[in-house]
Amino acid sequence: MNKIRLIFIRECSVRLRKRSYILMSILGPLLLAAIVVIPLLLKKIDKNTVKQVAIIDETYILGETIKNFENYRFTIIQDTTLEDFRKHYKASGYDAVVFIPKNIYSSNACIIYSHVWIDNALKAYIGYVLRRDLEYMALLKEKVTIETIKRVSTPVFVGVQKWTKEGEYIDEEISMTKKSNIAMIAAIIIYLFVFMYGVMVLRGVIEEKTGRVVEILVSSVKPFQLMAGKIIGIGTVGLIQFIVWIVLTFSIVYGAQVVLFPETYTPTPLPELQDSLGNNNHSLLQLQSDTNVDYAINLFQSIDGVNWTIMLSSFVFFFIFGYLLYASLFAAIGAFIDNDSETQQFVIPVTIPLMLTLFLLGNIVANPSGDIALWLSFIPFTSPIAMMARLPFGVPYWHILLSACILILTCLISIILSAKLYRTGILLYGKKIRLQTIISILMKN
Amino acid sequence: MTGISIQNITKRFSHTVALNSVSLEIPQGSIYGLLGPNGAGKTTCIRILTQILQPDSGTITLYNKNLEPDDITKFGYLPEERGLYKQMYVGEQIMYFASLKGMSKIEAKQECNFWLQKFNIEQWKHKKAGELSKGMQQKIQFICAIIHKPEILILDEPFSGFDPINADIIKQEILQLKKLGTTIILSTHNMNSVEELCDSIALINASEKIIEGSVSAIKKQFAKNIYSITFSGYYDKFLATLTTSYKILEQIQNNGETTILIELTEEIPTNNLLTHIMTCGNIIDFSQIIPNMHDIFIDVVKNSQSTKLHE
Repeated sequence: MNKIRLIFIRECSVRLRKRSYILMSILGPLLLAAIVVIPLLLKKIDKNTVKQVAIIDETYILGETIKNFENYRFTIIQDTTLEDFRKHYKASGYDAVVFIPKNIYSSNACIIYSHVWIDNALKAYIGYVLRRDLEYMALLKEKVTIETIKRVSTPVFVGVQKWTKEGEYIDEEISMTKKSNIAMIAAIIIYLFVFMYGVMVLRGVIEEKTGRVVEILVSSVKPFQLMAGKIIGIGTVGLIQFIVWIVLTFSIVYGAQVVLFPETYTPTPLPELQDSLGNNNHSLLQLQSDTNVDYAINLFQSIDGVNWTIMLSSFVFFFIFGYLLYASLFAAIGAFIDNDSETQQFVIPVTIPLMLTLFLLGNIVANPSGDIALWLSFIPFTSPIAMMARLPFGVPYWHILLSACILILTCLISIILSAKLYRTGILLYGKKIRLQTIISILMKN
Repeated sequence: MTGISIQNITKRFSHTVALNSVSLEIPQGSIYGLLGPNGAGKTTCIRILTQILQPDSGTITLYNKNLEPDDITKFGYLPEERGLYKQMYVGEQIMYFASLKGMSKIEAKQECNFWLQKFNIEQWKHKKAGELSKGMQQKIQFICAIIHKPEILILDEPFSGFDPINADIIKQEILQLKKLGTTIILSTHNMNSVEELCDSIALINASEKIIEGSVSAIKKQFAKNIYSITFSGYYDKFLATLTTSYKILEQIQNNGETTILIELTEEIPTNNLLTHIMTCGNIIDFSQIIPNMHDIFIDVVKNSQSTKLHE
């Protein structure tokens, strides 16, 4: 144990002092914060920029019923054709033109022409207004009065309120979108750290092997002690960096929120908010607020309301065991590599389950109780990412426990087998890795 | 007194036999040369001694007790393929290896300073190993192997990479360690250093031990009945009276003196030869030609290979 401690201390002290490590610890949060803040900033700038949209309506259906929407200002252009407008488009100063053709009653389609990016919100708004007006027109044709139409036209909000199996309200403050954000972020962080620090173990093993230090080391310590010290050391360095990243990122984002986006900063204490909402109209208010709140701004608000105890403890658990599983595999592989250039070809096959889970992250988040999500959260090579992606949506405790048990068991088996391979591999030079060799090593010991 | 006794050690790797029932007796406090051509099994033998590998069969005893995992701290090892952490400072590196051998931090620091001073390389203490030349790194590696005052020191090609001056410094240190009672196992292809340093040797070829014993005994064992005689007198008379018991291999005449290399083809006392020469002139020099380790090495390995071929 003392020797593992010594190796652990060396691994930590060498890596913690590395300039690249310090630099990444500072730059990482800055980059992460930039990923969140810059789109918001651009969005804010964009929102303040008024865009002029011309409407060429061959049917005169829209009339005055279209109102300005967000930063879009609409102007109906009369007595012109699309072709004439196109010729004088540059001089007109408009950013876009909505062309409503005569045949809209049969084609149900209109086109927006523009030299700038047209966001979905504008398309949705135009679609909504046209659909409404076309329906009005159709109903008027059927002799239905405007008053009647207005009276019967009832917008319906469909809300989701989660209950327990016993029918008790679960105090949930966040929407599916917000949960998806948390799920995505947690899963990506797990992926990043398992991958980054797993590969760091691999490189550490290769460094000792190609640097020919390993033979001196294993004459003083058992290969298992060397492997364990290295894995724990690098894991700790990773965990420290992770904590630094989280603290710094949230501090920067929080700071940016207060300074740059004061309108999104609502320091209302949670209990007061709950009181004001009550239980019965919970979903509706939630939904209404969702429909009005901008998606990107949601990122800031999405940190409230999740069961953070389960979330954080699971995160630490899946982070540690996911890392241990992959780090032990990487250590075993690294022991057989004596040339840096061979590294990549061995890294990819090992990380395929991780990457596959990352590709399927969208599916998991979209249907966290579905078969794909369920199976991936039980398979130990994918569960650290998949389970983290499921957790914000609420997962039965037995699912978490079963997944954790399978992961722990696989981890132990992986460490035992990897230690066997590591012990032999670190002393082999210039030999090609064959499956037969690996099997014979595993069978022999 | 036997320090390490290796009894019938066998080690296989897949279908290759690396050591085939090898037994060695390494006297305590001596310098023991482990010789053999490349791929003979020396490194496997050393790795078994340092407990890096476990033998498939056979036993190893240290001071008449079975070798235990805890004995690892009694060994110092300088492997042939050696390296240092390039990004680690020299002082830190030496102390790290010392601590892995069970030394306390204070003790390791003292010894580290002592050896750096002794080799006059204190200024390297705060340099990264990657900044040092190969020879400089070799010195650091040597310190790492001996810093914990091992009872048994295994040196695999310790002089490779050293210039003659530094090789001599290391040679003197090895002799000094022997004086202090350290048992030293020296694996090398440099036969001059074997002659200079080793008290006894073992020669391994093709996974098997071929010979073992003290250097002087082995030399005597391989000495042929060839003598070098320098005398002044009547060489023609000497030739005329030569019997079939003798065979002249070489003769040089210079300023009335004749030097001959003569082989005794029959087991006859050397006194008979001397008596015969004395009748032909005055004997100036008479000595037996003893083969050097280089010749013995080549001779034994070639013989062993041809015997295997015939089998």
